[in-house]
Amino acid sequence: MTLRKNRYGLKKFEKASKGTASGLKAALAMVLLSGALLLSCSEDFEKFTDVTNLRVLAIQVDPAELTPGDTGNISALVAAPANEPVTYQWRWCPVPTTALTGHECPVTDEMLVQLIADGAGQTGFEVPNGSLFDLGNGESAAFPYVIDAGVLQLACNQVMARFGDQIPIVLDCDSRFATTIRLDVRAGDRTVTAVKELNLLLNPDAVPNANPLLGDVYGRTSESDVPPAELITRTFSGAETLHLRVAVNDASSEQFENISVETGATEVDFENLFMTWFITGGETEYGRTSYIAGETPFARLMENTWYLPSAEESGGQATLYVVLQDDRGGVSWIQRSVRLED
Amino acid sequence: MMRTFSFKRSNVFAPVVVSLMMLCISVIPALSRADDLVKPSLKQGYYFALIPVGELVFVDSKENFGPWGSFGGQLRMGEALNHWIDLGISGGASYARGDSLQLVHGHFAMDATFKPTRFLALGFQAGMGFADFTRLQKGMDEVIGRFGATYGFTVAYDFFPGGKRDPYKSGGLAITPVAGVHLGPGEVTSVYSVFAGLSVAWWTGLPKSQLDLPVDQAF
Amino acid sequence: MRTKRIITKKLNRYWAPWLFAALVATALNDKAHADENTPRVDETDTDTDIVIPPVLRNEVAAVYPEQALAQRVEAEVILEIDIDETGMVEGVQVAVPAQPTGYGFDEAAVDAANLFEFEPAVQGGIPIPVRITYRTVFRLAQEPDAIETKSDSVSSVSDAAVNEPGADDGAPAADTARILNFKGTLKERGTRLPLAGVTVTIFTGDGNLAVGYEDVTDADGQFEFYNLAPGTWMLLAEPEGYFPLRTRDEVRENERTEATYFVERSDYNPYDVLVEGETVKKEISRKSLKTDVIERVPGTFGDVLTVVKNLPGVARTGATAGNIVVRGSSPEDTQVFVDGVEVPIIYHFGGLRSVIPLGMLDGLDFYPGNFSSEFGRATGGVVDVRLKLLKPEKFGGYVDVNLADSGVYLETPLGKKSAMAAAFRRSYIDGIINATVPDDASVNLITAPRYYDYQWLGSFRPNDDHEFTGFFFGSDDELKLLFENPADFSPDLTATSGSTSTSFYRTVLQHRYMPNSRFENVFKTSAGRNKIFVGLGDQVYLDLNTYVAQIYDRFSVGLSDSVRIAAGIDYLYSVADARIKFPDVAKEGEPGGRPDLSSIKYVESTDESNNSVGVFVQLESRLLKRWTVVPGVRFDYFSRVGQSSLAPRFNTRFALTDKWTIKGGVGVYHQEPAFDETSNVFGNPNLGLEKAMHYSAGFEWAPLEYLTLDVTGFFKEMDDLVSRTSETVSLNGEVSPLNFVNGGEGRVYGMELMLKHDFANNFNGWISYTLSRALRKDVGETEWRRFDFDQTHIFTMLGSYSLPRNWTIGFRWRIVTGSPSTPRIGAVYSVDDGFYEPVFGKPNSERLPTFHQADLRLDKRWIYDRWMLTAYLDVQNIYNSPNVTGYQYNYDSSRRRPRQGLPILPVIGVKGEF
Repeated sequence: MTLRKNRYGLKKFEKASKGTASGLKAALAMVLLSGALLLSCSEDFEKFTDVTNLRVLAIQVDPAELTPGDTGNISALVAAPANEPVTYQWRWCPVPTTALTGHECPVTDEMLVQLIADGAGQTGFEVPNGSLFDLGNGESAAFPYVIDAGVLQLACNQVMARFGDQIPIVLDCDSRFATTIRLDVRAGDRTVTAVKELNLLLNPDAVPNANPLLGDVYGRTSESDVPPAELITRTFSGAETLHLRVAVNDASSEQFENISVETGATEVDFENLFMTWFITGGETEYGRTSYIAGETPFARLMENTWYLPSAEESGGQATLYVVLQDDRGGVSWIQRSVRLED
Repeated sequence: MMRTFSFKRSNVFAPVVVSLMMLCISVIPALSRADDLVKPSLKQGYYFALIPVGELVFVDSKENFGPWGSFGGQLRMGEALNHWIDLGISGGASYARGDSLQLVHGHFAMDATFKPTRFLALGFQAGMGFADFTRLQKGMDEVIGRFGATYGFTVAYDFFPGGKRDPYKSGGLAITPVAGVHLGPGEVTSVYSVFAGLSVAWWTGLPKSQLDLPVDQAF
Repeated sequence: MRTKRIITKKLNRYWAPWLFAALVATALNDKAHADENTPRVDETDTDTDIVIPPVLRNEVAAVYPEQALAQRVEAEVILEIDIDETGMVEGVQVAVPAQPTGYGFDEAAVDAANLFEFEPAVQGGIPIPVRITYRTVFRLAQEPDAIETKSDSVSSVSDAAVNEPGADDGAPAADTARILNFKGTLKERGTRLPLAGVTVTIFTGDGNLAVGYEDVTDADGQFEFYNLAPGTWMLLAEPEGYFPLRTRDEVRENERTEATYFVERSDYNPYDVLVEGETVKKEISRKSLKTDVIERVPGTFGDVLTVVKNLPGVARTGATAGNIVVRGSSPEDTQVFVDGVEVPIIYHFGGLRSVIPLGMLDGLDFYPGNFSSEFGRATGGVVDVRLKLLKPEKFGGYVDVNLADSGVYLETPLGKKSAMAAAFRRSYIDGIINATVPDDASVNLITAPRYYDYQWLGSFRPNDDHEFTGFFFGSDDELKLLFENPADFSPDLTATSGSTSTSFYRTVLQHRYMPNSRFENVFKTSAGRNKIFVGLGDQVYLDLNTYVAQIYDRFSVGLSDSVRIAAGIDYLYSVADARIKFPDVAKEGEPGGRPDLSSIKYVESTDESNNSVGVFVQLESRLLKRWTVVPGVRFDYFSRVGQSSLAPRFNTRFALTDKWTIKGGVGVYHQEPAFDETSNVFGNPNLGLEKAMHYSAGFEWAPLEYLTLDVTGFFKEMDDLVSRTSETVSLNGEVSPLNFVNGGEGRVYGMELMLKHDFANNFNGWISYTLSRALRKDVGETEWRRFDFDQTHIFTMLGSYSLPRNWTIGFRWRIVTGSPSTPRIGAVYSVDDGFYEPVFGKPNSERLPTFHQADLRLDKRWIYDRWMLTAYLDVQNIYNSPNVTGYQYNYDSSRRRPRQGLPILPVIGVKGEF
């Protein structure tokens, strides 16, 4: 378990008492042996939630899980530097991929055809768009779940048998066939790769996961409330503090059936949700907020504070991207830009 | 946060410092024979010294600052091992101002003093130190801190050893002018200071059982 | 061997003549002054061995010189007699000649003394040569022929002699009653130990009116003077090696003055231990350290196990790492024992402080490899921490306070045959952290890291043959955190609290039977419990509760003068309850990174029992007096893997000359996999034992008594190492991962060098250098890669100087090749997990920069009458070397910064001993 205090907790330590980046305090902390805690400051690096470059912030498949016959609509939240054309490349892989291989798919077209043939004696299987794993170059893509669920289940077992040593997890071939969606985005000379797992449910009657729903973004300054409409039209003064609340319906925390790791029995759980607050300038109080069912209050998920940058630093505008995820692969997002003036 | 390291500088510094330290460490025992029963004199036993100092401070950074005038004080305490060597600890702080910056710097170090003659004392300190710079403009409280190893070298000479002295008394008050150099913390930003001050030291003296005394004094 | 600072017994020109003109031999009663002529034994060891003075067996009376007899002149002569270890007189000198001179008193006294016969002085069971002071008194009795010379008679002072006229043997009936009006005790300042055999002089007046008497302290440090006239008397004692006692006291009419005087040693350096006698050396790479050496090593804060890291063969694993990496072996391959009892954890919180403080310990033995068949269940090295032989002379102990924790140690004799000691230590760094971490930090410490440990030791020695020891010890660590906003740490963290708590205790009972020097049997039994809990709320936890018991017996028999056979049995039994819900943990060679909290496995088991039996036989033979050959074999059975092993081992030493020895050894070593590796959920229950072959050869050169150079070359071959595999296995149609197989290999070779300077000339220290290469080949790989802690050069130089006035200065300088590290060549954003997964390059293909650090330590001891205070200042990394312990990457692993190690860090502590 890494505490990560050095990444977030410590930043709070410094801000809370501004100007204590003091050699004297360091000396005292050193003498009192608690200096060991102050050691790994990573101030020089930008934070994960600071968007300063080409980034893929989220990938959504709608619906989040596919039942037989569904078509999943895949889109991405990409933050790109202005004035640069962005190219997209979508692919999918019939097995979960791992960073150890740089998320390259271990299965080739021939192998997939062979798998299906071996599994169910079906041949001549085709997936639209040329290469079996190519999903296109558009800003969005589509994934049709056209293959027979039974065939897929047998294929799943074959996958475990043949590729088990290259897959990071043990596949659960009773309920789902796990695939990976991969997006490579390029702008200028920078390339970013993002992957997302997509489950093809084998039982047509299963209830698929739904993407969580996001409402609008409400703001509040020290002087007044800022309704969503005003948020994008109003000009804020640089370095102002803006309290934010993103409306999330608590129905977004769906109920689902889960197999308990401890007992093996089926139990009913609620989804946990987490929200990532990406910004192009300034600082937020939390990089992420979360709702842990039964443990933390829902309100904590929705609220954050944005310390706006100065207009000079940000060129007069700053953008907020809020990405809401549940822990079963559901994603949604909302993005807002605010105008700034010093 | 508060330490930016320049590897190049450290690489040169380290062997030099270590060699100097080894030299001190090997010289100290060589000169440290315990004295037999000694005649009483002023600088015996434990010492507690207060040294107000005036300094000239130089800051070596991306720009070079200084010299700035500075004042401060040092506190030293330790013991005379014999008439060659004293060992102890030393701490101090001082305040300087200049070029719209304010500097508070201080140190806490081990202190070894060599006494080649009766009146001359050469001190070497090695320890840790801090330096805090505050920008005076804009009313901002921004503090840039530095923390790291510090080294010092001092020279003290007893111009006024104190005239008449009770030949059977050990210890007493010693007032000695001191001058020295202090190399501050930090490698990329470094603080150097040259200082002079007056050391007011109280020596506790040795107990009678360790002194060479006539019988009417010894018992 | 030790160097003493001698305070010259200078009778300086001020008062000598008066004193000696005044000395008159009085009727100093021989019974009341039991050891009047006790030898002035030099410094009583503050360590365990007391010197038993020589006893005069055959006294020859001096011949009273005729002329003096005729003129009725009395005098006394003080002699110095050298007695050798057989009790014969080697030489006699006159220390203080008789006054008046010219009568031949000196010669008569010397002649008689040359014929004396003694029982020799004994120290630690060994007769030693000594020099004693002896006073011959020539006193005229009522019968002119009766000569009286002093003889040392029996032991204790009896108060019956007080105020009773003439109730003693041999002394002529004194016509005046002897009144004891001055009784004193001479003790050593700080340790309160009595000083025996010291001449104490009391005198008053000056010039020709000076009057004075002398006495010599007995075994309890007591001396007495009789019939002193009322007034102010001056007392003088000048024991060798001490500052003199010079004081005044009042003697009043009809009162007895009693006082205790404390005399200060000229130095209290802790190394006042004699070099140990020559024990038969049978191990070839053992390094032993005693606690007083351990205590002074800079940078280790008196921590026994941290000191091991300064010995050759031990890699540098980071400032607070609690693991010991020996000759390229993983930390779990090295076992730590406390007097043969295995210890489940050796550090609080994985590296802050070791669980047993110094007070209970005598020292440690470290075996980096090729250890004999007595030790098993390890393929790396062995650290055996030895408990002290509890023989306190008085009630005493210490209190140790520093910024991290405080501890107390007390010991006391219980009668003549038994003794007891207890110790306790607790941290308060929790208070400090709470004070310096602000309240609005997103981590709240419910229980900041706090630890404590406790020990109790008792020993009972009914006679020389039997020794019973009881040792009870344990430790407890705890840390609890609350996360206000878990997502800020990690999006997959759903726990709002985290805690870790580790505790264990053991009770050990031991019986040692040694009826003669040929036979010894040690029987030991121990029982205890280990409890480990690590968890993040309900999301991830590891709850392990184990009861352990151990039975151990080792006997050794000397078949002849040169052959000894040792054998033993070691049985270990454990019963465990476990509830574990954890992701996979990174193993050696795998880059760390985040644990994958989404793939968590679960296992629960109750009352899972395991046995492990070891039986060993070893022959220690000394051929031709110079050649030691130790073959041995060890048989082990491990029930967890259901395998047994046979491990033959062979060590040999050959003394080419008195100073040169060559040595070599080879052996087979086995070890069980870690418990998670054989779990049927996390690991592979069909794993087998790991194996290693050790080869070493080298030489030792001891040019001086206190200087030793030890050079050893070693080669280690490791097989069947547990290695992670992604293979799967099909059972009943179900496919499950194998997780681990015994397919890894290891190869380590290199050289260790140690130049050790034992305490002499006020200095002790060593230089240790290791040159090595440690490689691993994981299962399925074709190429060898560097071991996680493959450090080509490890150089450590350290030493301590003992300075006058009870100062000690110590230094340490280390230069170590950087550890290998695995670079990151990119990252892929995993949307569902919410972070960039790093893509790693070739394992351990890079190296961190060279590590170098110097530490400096100052100790100062203040001596008070009944206790001593030691304060130390230990400055770590005194030139603030920016050592890189790893790299910190930005969110997408595209940039990195070196992570700095500890900066300059001063540590202060004080210790009060009494």
